[in-house]
Amino acid sequence: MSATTAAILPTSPPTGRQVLALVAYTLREARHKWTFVALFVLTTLFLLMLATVVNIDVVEGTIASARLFGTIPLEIGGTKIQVSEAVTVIQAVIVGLLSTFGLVLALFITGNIIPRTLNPGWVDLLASQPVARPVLILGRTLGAMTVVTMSLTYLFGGSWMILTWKTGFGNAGFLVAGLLILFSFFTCYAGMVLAGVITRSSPVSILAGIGIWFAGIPLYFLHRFEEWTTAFRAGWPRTLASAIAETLYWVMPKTAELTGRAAEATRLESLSLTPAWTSLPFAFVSLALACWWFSRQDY
Amino acid sequence: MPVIQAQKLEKIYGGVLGTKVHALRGVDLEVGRGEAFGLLGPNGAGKTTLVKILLGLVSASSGSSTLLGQPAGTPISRLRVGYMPERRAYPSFLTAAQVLDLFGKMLGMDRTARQQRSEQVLEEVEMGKWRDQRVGGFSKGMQQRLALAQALLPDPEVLFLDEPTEGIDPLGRVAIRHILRGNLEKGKTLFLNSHMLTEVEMLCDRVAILVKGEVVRHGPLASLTAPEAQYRITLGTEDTEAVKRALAGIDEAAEELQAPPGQSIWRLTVEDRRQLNAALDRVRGAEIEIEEVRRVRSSLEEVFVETITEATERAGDAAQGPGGALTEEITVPAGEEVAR
Repeated sequence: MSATTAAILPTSPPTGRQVLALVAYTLREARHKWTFVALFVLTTLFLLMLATVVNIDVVEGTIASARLFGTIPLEIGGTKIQVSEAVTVIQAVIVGLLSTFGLVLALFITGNIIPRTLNPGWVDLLASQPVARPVLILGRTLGAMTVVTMSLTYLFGGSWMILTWKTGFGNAGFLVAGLLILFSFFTCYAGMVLAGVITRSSPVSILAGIGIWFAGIPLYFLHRFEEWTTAFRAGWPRTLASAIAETLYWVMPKTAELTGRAAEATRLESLSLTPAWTSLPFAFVSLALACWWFSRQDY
Repeated sequence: MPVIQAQKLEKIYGGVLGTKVHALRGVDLEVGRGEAFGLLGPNGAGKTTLVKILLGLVSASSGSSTLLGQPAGTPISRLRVGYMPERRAYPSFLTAAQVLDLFGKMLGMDRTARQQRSEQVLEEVEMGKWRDQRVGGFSKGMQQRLALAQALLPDPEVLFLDEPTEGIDPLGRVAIRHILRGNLEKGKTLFLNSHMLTEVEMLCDRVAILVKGEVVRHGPLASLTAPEAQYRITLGTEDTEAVKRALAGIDEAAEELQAPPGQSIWRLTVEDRRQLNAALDRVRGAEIEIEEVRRVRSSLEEVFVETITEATERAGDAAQGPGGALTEEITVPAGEEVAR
């Protein structure tokens, strides 16, 4: 071994640094994508609007008056509205939008991160480094999660601070809702990673992620409404269909319920985290399968 | 201990439903430290597959291989290895410096080492002034140089180069050759995979020729290009009869070649130098002036074409034998003696 080589390289593959390098690379990549720039601009505009357009006067914990642009009075119907109620409603709207459109948008934007890693010519260069292949997948996944976490933190943290500053009411439940949306994204993203590694196709990967999110809605209703499953149980084909639906409900991420829990968290209602922890196995198994598949492929 | 070692490496692409392609058939190979090794072969011979197995990009169907004493394909075996693949696609938004910074991090270099080494290798491949330019705007030649810089980044002990000079102008080729020679002088091992036979001829001291996944010929370049003791003798006479008389007895081994006026040129095939000297003594004894004696060497290109033709003919013969050829992977039955 030459003296220079010995001086500049570690003695074993530096897994931690490699993961950080991949996260940093994913962030750099995101910065160069217009979709992320557009998202950042839109979020900033929304926060600016929240900070400057709506003026709320609070007297003894209730809203005395509210004005747009400082001059246009907002009718509050003569009834006294509690500040906590008003803030919760605004935050519930934000949570509702983010846990549906926002989450789908996040899946759409991050859906090509894994397929791009597997581009011919680029995967050869990455995989020929002293890096274990699962590290490449996990590093990129962590990178995507970091990008979405940063975006959510900006939006949630920003709106929370502005509303707290304007009303004096800080709703911690809103931040918990943000965490639940992030978790919901993670479970769908894990499935998207698996689809991306197997097909190496961005469109298929994106469709898989969005499909997993949407699948949570019918599966929830099939599970929730017992009369449906009872009806299915009338004959064996129906029993089979019911069993399949019930199995899928437990296997797939419970995205619909996670959205519901996020709304409950915003309203500071008691929170059951069962949908979260029962969705975790799907995410971990998907990521493990993705790593296994990627490790045995020829590039 | 060899730096690169492959034993009975086999690779079959394709699965249960798809067509099987036998890319490597029992390849045995050894490359020593500090050696410049050239792997030659026509398209589809299995050269890139072999390199990719050694680097862990492709898994072998059977057989074993080691790289720097470690099982090939493990991350630790690639720690002190540079690789310049034939097919590469750097993200267009990265600058040359950012590409090297990313790969420096993947190698575990600290910030100072990354910066210093990046500067060094970019200067070495004459890309210093382009360090902050985005790769998306690079020409093919510039991307090639960047790939070489990236391969040199870890100051590797083994350097794998797949078609390193393709797409580069003649001056660039000279520069790359100069860089590679410099690395060889530092004791690095070079594994060159190229169609550019002149490049291989100028850089490598040992070569292997791969045909349809089999090493059909290998050895030191000098012995491959000069397989027999053949000499080209230029004499200061036009009197061919006098030369024939002088060479009586071994004249069957002498072949007259075209010569300019006042000279005659002969190609002499002898068993050894003693026989050559005896022949030269006879010529001198006949008072014929000897102007030049030169060993005849084939060019690598001639050796390459001859080897491929022979191997293809043998494969054709085998295919026409009992049973005939069924699929591509059985056109050359495993175990058939093709290599010399």
